[in-house]
Amino acid sequence: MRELMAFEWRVLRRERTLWLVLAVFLGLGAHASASGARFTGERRAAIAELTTEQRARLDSIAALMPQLDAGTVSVPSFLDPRMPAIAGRGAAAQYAILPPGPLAALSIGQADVQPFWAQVTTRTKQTFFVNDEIENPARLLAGRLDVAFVILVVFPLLVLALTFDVVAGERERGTLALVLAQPVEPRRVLGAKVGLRALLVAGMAIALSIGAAVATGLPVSDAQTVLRLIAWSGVVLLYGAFWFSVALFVNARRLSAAASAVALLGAWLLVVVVLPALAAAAISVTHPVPSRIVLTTQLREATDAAAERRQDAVATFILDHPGAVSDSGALSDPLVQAVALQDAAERTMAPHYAAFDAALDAQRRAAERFRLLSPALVVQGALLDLSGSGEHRFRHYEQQFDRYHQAWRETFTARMLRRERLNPASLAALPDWTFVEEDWDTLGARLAPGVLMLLGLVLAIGVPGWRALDRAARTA
Amino acid sequence: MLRTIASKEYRELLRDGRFRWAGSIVAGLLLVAGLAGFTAWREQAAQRDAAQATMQATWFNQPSKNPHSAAHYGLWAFKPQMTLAFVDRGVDPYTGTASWLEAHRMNEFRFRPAMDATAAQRFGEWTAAGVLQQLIPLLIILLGFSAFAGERERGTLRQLASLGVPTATLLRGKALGVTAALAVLCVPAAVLGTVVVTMSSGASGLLRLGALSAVYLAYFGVILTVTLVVSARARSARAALVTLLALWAANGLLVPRVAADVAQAAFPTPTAREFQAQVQRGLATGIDGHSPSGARADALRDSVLRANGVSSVASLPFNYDGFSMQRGEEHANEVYAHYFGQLWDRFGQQDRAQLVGAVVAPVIAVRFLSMGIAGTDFGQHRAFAEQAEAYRQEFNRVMNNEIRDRARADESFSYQADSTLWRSIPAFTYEAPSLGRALATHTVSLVALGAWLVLAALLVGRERRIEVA
Repeated sequence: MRELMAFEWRVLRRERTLWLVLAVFLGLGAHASASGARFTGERRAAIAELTTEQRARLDSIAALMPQLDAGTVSVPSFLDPRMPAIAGRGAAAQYAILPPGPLAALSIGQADVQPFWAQVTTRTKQTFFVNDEIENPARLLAGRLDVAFVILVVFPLLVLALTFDVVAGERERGTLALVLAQPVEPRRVLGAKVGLRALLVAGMAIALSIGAAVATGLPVSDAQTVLRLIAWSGVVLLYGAFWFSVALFVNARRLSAAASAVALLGAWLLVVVVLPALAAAAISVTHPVPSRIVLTTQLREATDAAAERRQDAVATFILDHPGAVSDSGALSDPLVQAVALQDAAERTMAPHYAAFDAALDAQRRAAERFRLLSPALVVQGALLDLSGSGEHRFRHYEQQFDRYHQAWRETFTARMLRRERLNPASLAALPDWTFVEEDWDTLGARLAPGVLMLLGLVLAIGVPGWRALDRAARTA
Repeated sequence: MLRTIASKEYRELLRDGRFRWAGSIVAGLLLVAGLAGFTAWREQAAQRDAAQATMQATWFNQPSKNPHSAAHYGLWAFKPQMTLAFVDRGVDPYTGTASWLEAHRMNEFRFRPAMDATAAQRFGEWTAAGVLQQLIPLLIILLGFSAFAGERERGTLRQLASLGVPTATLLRGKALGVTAALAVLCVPAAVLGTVVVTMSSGASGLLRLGALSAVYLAYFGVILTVTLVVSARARSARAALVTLLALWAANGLLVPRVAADVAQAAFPTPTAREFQAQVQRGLATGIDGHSPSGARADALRDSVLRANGVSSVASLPFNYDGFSMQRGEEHANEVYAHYFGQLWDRFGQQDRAQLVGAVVAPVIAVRFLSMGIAGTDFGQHRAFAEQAEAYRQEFNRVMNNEIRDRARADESFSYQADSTLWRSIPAFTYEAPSLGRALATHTVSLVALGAWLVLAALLVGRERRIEVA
């Protein structure tokens, strides 16, 4: 068998197609890896800058506080960081940072249209996610040539280019009859041809995963990264296996080489273009993106309504915080009043926010279902999920963000009502932001249906494809 | 002769199952994309109009308050879309859709629709423009790749040559035949488009639709020529197909992405933090970097006092706070105009740099032209942003001048104005650039597409001899 494969390799390596395929593959892989590495590098640099800025700001406030207490320095009251209302609104605010995903350099995914940090203050949530990274919209429209794109779109084409004429080529050249006349079992010859190509495809899949991971400088010593990288490689292998079995299946149809190329191209179009287009249209029609424009006008109306009923708002606020109000002076404090008004507006907005989030979540669940229409979408979902550049990790971030924002507001409201003054110790005791990655169970549960479907397809197409090809190869 | 060749080619294609299949799929996708695009466009237009009306009403109906508070209250401007945006959404999903207009600062646009959509949609979603830019070329390739190579393999090309059919006639006849087959698909689509556009935007929409059709026709002409020329020169039908598919993938999938990366590397944009810092520095020190605001404020006050021959701002014949706030606005306006202008010019440079890729991938030029005509390119986003900014500057000016002219020196921030003042500023309306002005920003794309057309014509002209075997 090894001898046969060596022969086949000698034949294959004389073909221009092979070297062309490998050159394209290497070139694109290199460009994609470089582009992913640059993207995450820029993100990390921005995050480092934010962290430094925050450290410096908090340190300078901590240094200023005792001086203000001692009266050696004075600032206007609306800049006094000891006032909880001032500190909570910006001076002591922390950045809620979403670090690049575990395999971010392999897939930029949605990360280039999602914000990755926000400064958490006591203000309303609507004011936060405004920190879009500057990017030419024409580039966002063109899309990224990242490793995930190479895998999803280009890799299948390369697999098909290697496999579209396993038998048809020999038959058309008339050499199949000669091969069949040899004292070797036809199945073994075929096995060598198919096996060698399978090895090449698998090699490309592994190179695209591990090679790109090394090329982009992923921390391969980290256990989490390694686990995800293994899962990623598995998905890529499975995707390669899917296309390989489709190729076997078409090869068994005894078409001419050109006809089998057209048929495989049709399959590629169906899986990579047509079915995803139908899935996307289905998602858009059944679950349109909820409108942030509508949310904006609702917030405006809620804020206006709260301002009109200022007395009510303040009264409700006091009732909501029993015992927290230390003296009646707090109530005439314009800062407390502002918080009360904001509270009233948020109360009106709560059902709107909930409806918006529910619509987003429903859209995401629908997307997961419609993904199953196409193996390419299944693989896209899995790759983005594993690399952490899809919508799920972002939703996970938003949820943690909401909890953190809630905690931040509560602690500052309580301190403000008690007319507390912050000091360096209370500054250090403020809630800290840390992002917790999704656990494996949640991730695995989301990936499982797609992966199982892909596995099922490989078996359902590949096994009969191999049998039929085996039969077809016995006739010259 | 020409007609015979064309009608033979046309009939052969229509009878070919492959074409019927591929044609129906592309037509189906075009229909789905068009319908989904139009539904979304109509819904968003209604939402936007309602939101803009509500916003404007909240501004007009403000209770009596200090004009500066009103300026802080501000309002939102929501970006409208032309009808043709349903064909080509252009950069709209990636620029924000709304801008918050308030006192002191020019805000960036918020709410990119792409942020709230799913990754599956970003990967899979096709606008009608996407189908026209990517899938119709693929269809043309499928229709035309065997036009010569196939006849050569079957040996019929030798027979044709022996009949004395001139090469040029053969080429033109085949082109005509493929065009006719394609027209079966494109003409109904164009008619449908015309009906939709006429119903929702009238004559101006039709002009744009005409321009859009011209661009796509030119593009299809280029693709068709390249397909036939490759077919005429290829060794076999298989080789023709492989070459054309490689060209197709380069044109639609790879080169535009690489070109965008290269353009970003050649003309880098600042990061959001760098940009913020630049603006902050500009605001604090003036654009030239030599006039810190404290000193500038003092100088302004002194010069105003001197000019009016008084010794304190309280004795000025107008309210000094209103006056100086307006001066502050004007300085900020300059700073914002400078840095945003710089950033947007940079995007323009990047877009032109991307067009270098049009040397191999004409789709890049077509994409810019298509967006430009559909009113969804960055230039028209910028036009909207600039008009919204002009509106913001105007209402701030009116508010500050009200304080300057009406408020006593001691009531700068307690003086109350009523809705007469809010209503004295006309509602915000956006005047979209004309088609001519929109296209003027895409001259490089026009030249690129024109060059491809000329090249195509030259290629056809040079095909005097075709190898028959």
